[in-house]
Amino acid sequence: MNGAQIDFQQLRIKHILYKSKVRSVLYGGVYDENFFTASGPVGTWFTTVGMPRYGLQAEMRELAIINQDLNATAINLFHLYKSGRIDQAHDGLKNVETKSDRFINILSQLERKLKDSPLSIYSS
Amino acid sequence: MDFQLLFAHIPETIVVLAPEAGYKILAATNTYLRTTMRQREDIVGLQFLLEAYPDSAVPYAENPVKISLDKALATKKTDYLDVLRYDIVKPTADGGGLEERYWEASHTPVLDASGNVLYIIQNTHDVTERELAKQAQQKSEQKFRFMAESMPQIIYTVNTQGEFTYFNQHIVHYTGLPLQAFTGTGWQNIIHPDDLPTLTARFAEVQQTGADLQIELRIRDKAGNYRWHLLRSRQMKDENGNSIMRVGSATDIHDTRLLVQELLATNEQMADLSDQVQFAYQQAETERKTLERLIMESPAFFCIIKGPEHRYELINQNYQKLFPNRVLVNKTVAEALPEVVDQGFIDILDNVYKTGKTFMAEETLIKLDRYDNHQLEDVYLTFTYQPLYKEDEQIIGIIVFGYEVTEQVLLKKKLEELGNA
Repeated sequence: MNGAQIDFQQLRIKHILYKSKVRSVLYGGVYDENFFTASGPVGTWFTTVGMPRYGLQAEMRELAIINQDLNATAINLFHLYKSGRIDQAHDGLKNVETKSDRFINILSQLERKLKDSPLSIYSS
Repeated sequence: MDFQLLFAHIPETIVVLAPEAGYKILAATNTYLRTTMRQREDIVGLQFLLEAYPDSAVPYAENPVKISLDKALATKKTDYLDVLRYDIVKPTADGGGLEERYWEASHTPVLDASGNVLYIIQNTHDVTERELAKQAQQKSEQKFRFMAESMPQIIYTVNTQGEFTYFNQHIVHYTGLPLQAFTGTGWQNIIHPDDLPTLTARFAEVQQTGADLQIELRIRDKAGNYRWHLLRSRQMKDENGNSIMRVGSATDIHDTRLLVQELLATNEQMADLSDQVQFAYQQAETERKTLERLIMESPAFFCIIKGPEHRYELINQNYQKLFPNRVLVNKTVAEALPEVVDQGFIDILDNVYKTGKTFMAEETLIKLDRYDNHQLEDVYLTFTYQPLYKEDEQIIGIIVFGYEVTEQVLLKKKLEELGNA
């Protein structure tokens, strides 16, 4: 396993954690405000690993954009939930899932691209 | 005006009775006669129930018509009879047989100036349509009640005063309490005390606004455990838009909540582990690089040969200097250095690989075709063959470490020669 693989595995795991966290808030879990800001785990990954190391890749920039979109969707669902529109908030999880599918697809694309490329831009 | 004629043609089912025991028939409308299929002369003058229309199924004293007539006579007020089913014969032209009909009769006393009862009018209305509609509604209500009862969740209704008017059986099944336990404010006893203030506030709020309600709350089950439910309710309006009641349900979401939290905990752990992997990887990488630099740039020669056939995997700069023009990596020692095969070094490598015993050589002569010009050159080396182990202690290769001592040996030899001279 090389450094890039570990970096992407980290993002994948942090992304799954992110989704779990969104769902947990919508099922009565604690709302950890910081988690859903740029200083949350996924945000931190983008600023410390993703952009500095892979910022030149179009896919990485797209991932960052989807992530922001996902976060906006999540925060909107939290508002619905808090205002008592619980069913609507749960229903909105579908949108999170669609965006997440796209996120994972692009991440896999980028992984394949960097694995196949002999000129991996990553060197640790 | 001919009131007699007029009366006979009133399109109502009317019969007029005398206010006396037996209630003698005084008059009847044509409609009445048609409906009962009698002729006027056949019934006028007869006692109403004893002679004209006897009912063999009920004793006279218990006949509801007689009781109602008695009451109208005694109270001097109109008395209404319960709806009766009295099927009528259909004309043969319409297929014959009986037609299901419902009737509602009233007994109205007619008083004289001093308040004495002169007559009693029995007026019968055909209420079949209303009755059938009522029955259809009852059937439909039964259907919906059955549906509500069979739902695997709590179903309830609340009237416009905010009082619970219905709970389905599921609440009995879930709480183990009889339905009576939930009347008045009884329902509050099964709500978690921490959730009750918000719930009552929200109940009051939606009662006012008519908005939909969704709220998560804990409801106590028969074992005494509070389980999370999602309670929903919606206002039901009549055709004019006025609130009739609120219909609500409570769905058990406890297991889903637990599942979601468990999944989160698992994923948090996975993220922690992955951070540890990342950290360990970075640490291992740093250590590996330090070692690599140490070995590759070391003033000694070094190489790793793998497998029983002794294939070069890694060589450092100084090892390469022994054979400046040869490609070594991925070749076996025998392939790369054919000249050493007969010098016994392969046997020694085989032995180290087999036994795991380190071989040490000091100032050992080896003849090498260093520059690939078929000129064997005497090279003196001090070196070790050390077994290389896998995690399970199995030997997978040999580490060669040493340095060339040709100059020192030759110098030593020269000194010895000089000493001997």
